[in-house]
Amino acid sequence: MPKFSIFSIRASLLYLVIGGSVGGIMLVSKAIGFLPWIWYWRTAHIHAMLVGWLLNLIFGVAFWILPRLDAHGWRGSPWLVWLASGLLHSALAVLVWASIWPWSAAIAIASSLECLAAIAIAWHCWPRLQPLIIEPRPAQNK
Amino acid sequence: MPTLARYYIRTAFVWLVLAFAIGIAMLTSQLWALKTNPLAALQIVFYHALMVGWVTQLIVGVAIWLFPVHTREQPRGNEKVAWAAYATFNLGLGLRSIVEPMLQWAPSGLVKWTVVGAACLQVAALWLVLLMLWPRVKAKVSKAK
Repeated sequence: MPKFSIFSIRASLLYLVIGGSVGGIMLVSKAIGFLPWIWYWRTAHIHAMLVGWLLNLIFGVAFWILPRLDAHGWRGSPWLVWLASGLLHSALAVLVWASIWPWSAAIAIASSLECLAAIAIAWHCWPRLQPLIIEPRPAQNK
Repeated sequence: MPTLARYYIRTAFVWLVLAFAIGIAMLTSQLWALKTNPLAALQIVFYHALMVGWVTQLIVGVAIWLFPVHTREQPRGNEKVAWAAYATFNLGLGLRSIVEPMLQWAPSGLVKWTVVGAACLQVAALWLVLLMLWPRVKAKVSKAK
């Protein structure tokens, strides 16, 4: 597994447990009124699960497993995937920040960063989405 | 495919069917033209059945199957942790799906504390999933010559 995939998949697992733990506290709060301010974190919980967990995992697995560009196993320049990952983490940081100190532009900024991340990962993956090239076997003598 | 992965993936399909059944019930109930629709309380259960029961459980099942092996002796790591994660994951989500709507329909002390128990089971399941998969996210170990 390449370095980027290890980073991205491990980050996604951390988002899963952190986002899920926030969701668990929200459920407890709903039942017994524990830490009522946790509901300000609802948007951050949803983004941590949908973007932090799912998208980071997809980015990591896609970089690892999509067809390589040549016979030496070249996956293409990794700077676009690192950029995509950086943009995603920045979007999530903006949302968490805005959950604590409410900020009206946060959703627009975070969504724009996520959109740029989508463009960067699509740009990287596009040339790797190609059919398997199988060399024809030499003709057999009958 | 290992037994563990089959259990995770098959149970994920069960949650997919349950999620759609809840979705159908919610959509159908809109035709009753009631002043307050009691099935609206199922909306949160629908989302979690779909995103946690189906999507997350399917991903974890496929990861157990396809991620790099842990060691030759224990290819999928500690299987006791994986089974504990499976049990707490589905018990927590199942319990939550039953008792969370009851907070609106028939709230009581028992219901409230069962919701707390379901939340604890779900959070524990996610930490167990982390414990199970973390060591398997690693670079390929080159064989010694």
